[in-house]
Amino acid sequence: MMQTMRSNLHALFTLRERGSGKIAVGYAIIGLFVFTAMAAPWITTGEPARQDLLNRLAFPSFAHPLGTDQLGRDVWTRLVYAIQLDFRIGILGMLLPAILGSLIGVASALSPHWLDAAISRLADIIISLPLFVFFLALAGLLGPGSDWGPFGPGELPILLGFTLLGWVVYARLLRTEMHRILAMEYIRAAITGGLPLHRVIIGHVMPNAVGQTLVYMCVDIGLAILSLATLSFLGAGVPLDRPELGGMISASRTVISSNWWLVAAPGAVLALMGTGLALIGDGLDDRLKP
Amino acid sequence: MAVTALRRHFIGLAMLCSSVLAGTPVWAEEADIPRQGGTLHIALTNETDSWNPQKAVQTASYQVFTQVYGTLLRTSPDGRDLGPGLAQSYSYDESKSHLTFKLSPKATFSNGTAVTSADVKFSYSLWAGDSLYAQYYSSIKSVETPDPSTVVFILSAPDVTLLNILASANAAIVPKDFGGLSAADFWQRPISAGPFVIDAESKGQTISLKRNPHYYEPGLPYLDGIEYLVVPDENQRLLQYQNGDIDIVNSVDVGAAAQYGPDATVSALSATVNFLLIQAGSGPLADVRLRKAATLAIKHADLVAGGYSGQAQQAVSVIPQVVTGARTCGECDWGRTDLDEAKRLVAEAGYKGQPLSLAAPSDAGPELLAAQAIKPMLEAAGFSINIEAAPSLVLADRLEKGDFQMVVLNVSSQANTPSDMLGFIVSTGYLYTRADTAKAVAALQAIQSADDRGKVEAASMAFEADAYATHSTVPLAALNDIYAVSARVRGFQAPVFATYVADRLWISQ
Amino acid sequence: MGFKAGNRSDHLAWRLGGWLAQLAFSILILVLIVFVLTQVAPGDAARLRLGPRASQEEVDVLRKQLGLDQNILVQFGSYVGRLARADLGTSINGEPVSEVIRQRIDKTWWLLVGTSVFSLALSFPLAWLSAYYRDRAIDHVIRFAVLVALFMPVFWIGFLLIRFLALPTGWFPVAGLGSSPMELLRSLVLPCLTGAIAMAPILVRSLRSSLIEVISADYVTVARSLGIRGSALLFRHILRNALGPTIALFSLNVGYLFFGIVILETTFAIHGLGSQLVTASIKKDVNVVQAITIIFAAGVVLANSCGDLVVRWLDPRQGSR
Repeated sequence: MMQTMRSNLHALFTLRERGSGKIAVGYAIIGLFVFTAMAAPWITTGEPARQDLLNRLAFPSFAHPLGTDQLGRDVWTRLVYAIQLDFRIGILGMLLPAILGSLIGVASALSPHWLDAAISRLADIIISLPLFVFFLALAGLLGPGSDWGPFGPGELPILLGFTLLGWVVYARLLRTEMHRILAMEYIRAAITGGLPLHRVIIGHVMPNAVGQTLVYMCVDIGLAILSLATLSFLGAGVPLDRPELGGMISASRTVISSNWWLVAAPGAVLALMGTGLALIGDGLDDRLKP
Repeated sequence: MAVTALRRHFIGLAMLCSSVLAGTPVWAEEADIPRQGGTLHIALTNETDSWNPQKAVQTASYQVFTQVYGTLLRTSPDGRDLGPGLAQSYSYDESKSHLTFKLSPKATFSNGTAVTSADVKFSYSLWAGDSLYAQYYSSIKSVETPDPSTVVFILSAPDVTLLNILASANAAIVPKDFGGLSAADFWQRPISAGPFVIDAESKGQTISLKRNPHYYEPGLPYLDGIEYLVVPDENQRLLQYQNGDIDIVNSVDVGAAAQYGPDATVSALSATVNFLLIQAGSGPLADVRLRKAATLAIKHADLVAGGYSGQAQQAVSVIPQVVTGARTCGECDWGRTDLDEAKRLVAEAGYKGQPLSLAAPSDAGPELLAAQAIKPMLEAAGFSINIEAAPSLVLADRLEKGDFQMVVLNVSSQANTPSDMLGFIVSTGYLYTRADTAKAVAALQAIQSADDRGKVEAASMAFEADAYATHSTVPLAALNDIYAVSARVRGFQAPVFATYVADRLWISQ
Repeated sequence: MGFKAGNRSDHLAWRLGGWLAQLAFSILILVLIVFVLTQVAPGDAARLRLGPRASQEEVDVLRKQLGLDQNILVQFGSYVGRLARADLGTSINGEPVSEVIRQRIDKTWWLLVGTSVFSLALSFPLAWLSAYYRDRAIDHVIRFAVLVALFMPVFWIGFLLIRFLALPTGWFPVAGLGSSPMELLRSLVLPCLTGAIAMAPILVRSLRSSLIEVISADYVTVARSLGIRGSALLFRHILRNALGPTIALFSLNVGYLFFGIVILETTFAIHGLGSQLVTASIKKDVNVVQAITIIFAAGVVLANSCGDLVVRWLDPRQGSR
């Protein structure tokens, strides 16, 4: 049965089928950002916080490819570190709810009927709520806070909010798939015959669920990045001295008429990053269509 | 010497203590004849906090108060000269213990009743009563009302500074017994004697003022009304100004001044000081060595040149130097930078890197920017700093409760006397920092009992020396006050002391 | 006949009752979520009000007054009780929360209506073009534009429109909402257009596929073969059949729309519930945050349910679900 999963994954990642063009362009864009983020120490000054107050709002030059901001910080360096931060939050903001949601989905399908029904009902309610409004209120109320384990200041409330609200789609997907597989005659027979449950999940449930999950994941990374940028813009995201795309736009918008690139650059990065993710998601979606 | 007509007008009056000069003042551009009518839209940087001048601390509140409340005297825009207000003249007796005001017969409240000496006496009871600013008036022993148009302030000391205080909106004249209203109702929609009256208010959003038909200056104000818009976001202020939705932006962020265009802004070296306030009452910073280390760690020259977009000078005293009678002390060297000394002090004080918060109002650009600029400088000396941005009103509340460690905050003197700033400093627990106020109180008392400028300066100097020794109120920069004024607004002069009266502003065709 | 009608209305009453019960249950759950969220916010409410210099006794007295010493279930009970009596408490400025909301709700309402209208007016034609010219150049252009806009931040779109549309032309105010009807309309254009651009990617993608479904449906093919063409076909058949999915889709995305409105209010300095929510949450004004999130959530639940009802009413085939 691993074969099914492989061929499924194969179908999703090869470029010879429907949606290939989109996926290729999407990979190229995202790959570029990942490379930039990983190469940050080598392609920038490596010090996004370093100020040069006497050289504030400088025009682009060889030393400062995107000029400097109001505190004389190198904007190119900040932009690269912001990409790093946004991307990391985007990935974590997708992974945490995906893991939690998948676990809940599988557990729900295996639970007694009343618990399964209660979890579905809770999922219905959560999906019908204005999640992002809650999210905003939560992030504002919790405040940025300070470092917490591997998370920098301001990251935990955002990830927490995203996880609490984002698990629903994955849970629904896995639950449906579990129910479908468990209803199959031969699977039941195999389980009675001693096939361990995890083999069923890995061999039968995952391969079918993985396609749609990947589409959701692309959307979720995009949404997480967008939310982080928006929250920072509203003053409820990461602390303002950390380089973050939305925060950079927010901090520079007063000088847009003299130093427009300070606003244009992070905005363009956000738009491009979003386009890349949307292209991959859309391409995968095309491919999954019957 | 370029002396404006307005200034001459005021000097003449102040010297003669005479009655109101007849006729309309002549303005610089003679071709322009002031036009009656129209409504100005003025942006405020943050929400006003109260209609009660004895409770309000936000500069925005005072910027509105000057339009609404009448005061016995008025100042010229540069704050240096006094002119008649609700009182047409004043005089001292020979011992300088009796200060007598003659009220103008035209002085009338917005509800149509005349301003009498009883109203002044009642107003005094508010100033000196349960007020944040009671210190301002401590030289007044009592108020007598020999007749309805004469008020006598009996003084315990000559207090040369009192007249300036009486000309500030803090000394607002309100009707006796709140005109029959309860105090609570009155402060919702006060009856007042200024050029404008409150028409409508939407808390935190807009304040609409309309012309006061009973204003004591004949033919004034020129405007039919003023619409104050609370726009905390500098970018929004800029956009609305550029779109023609706002005519005047009060307190443009120094960092954004260049965006308004070269002709749009009027700036003046002001009585606003950008402070680093350091909690001296509790926590690690209660150790004066750490406070001193923080000041020494700041690269003052860079900060002044870059942190405020060149719209500032190094501050040399707590009380701004533009105030008449302000002095710095000999040893005061606020601009000194010595990182090694700072590191040494940090080590000596046994600071172990506990994170300290550095707060700034989120709706005020320069403060927030300065806080961000200071952070790495302090960290270089070994401090561990978290920046916190909070809305002005929230921050004010936290300051009052002493719930802060370091704050970057602008404080403006609003009258041309050291006692204004000093009174505020004392009544706010040494500018919220919980520093020992004994010397500041002594300096304030000395200033209020001074009968000449030399004694005022000596007392200021003594206070500055104490402030330097305490190191809890670190003046970082003396900021320019910048106003963006659209071309259709005429008669605007940038005030030195943060507030202006809009009765002579008018709108050209 | 009478019996049948009675049966039908019984059925309807039953359904309506169930629907209301579901609505009430959803709102109760969300009140619980909001309550728990605001309880986990750091800081003791009494301590927050009194400041760190207050003595422990003072804090204890206030805790007792506020009922904070009781267990969380009792607190939740009394909170729901107060909500049921429409007592929303007071803000940290001492203003009644109901007053805060009353002053602002109309602006949010206009923005909501305006953005909905603009979103449909923008998305429907795009989806239609895209579906009608399926796999032709125009379809690809629209689909690509929609992809690019999918994760574009709302505030960024707002900035661009202000910079490149409002300021050069001077046609629209860049902030606030006007008070007279004409001024209101004029001031709604910019924020609603921004909102519509942000909503379009979600709406156009799904609308396009449901329109394709309708266009290629058997009865349309039959109608075409019978010679019904152009506008008659559009309105009589396709539009009517596409309306259901449109409304269903729209009501499902009301939650996202509400978030958009929060950002629009901040970007365009509109003093509505959304911008108030942002300031209140930064100020940790818990009562205001609770009230506004509950209003938004109730709005979404209501919109979803209404959308559901309308869809069932429009499309009898779904009625038996």
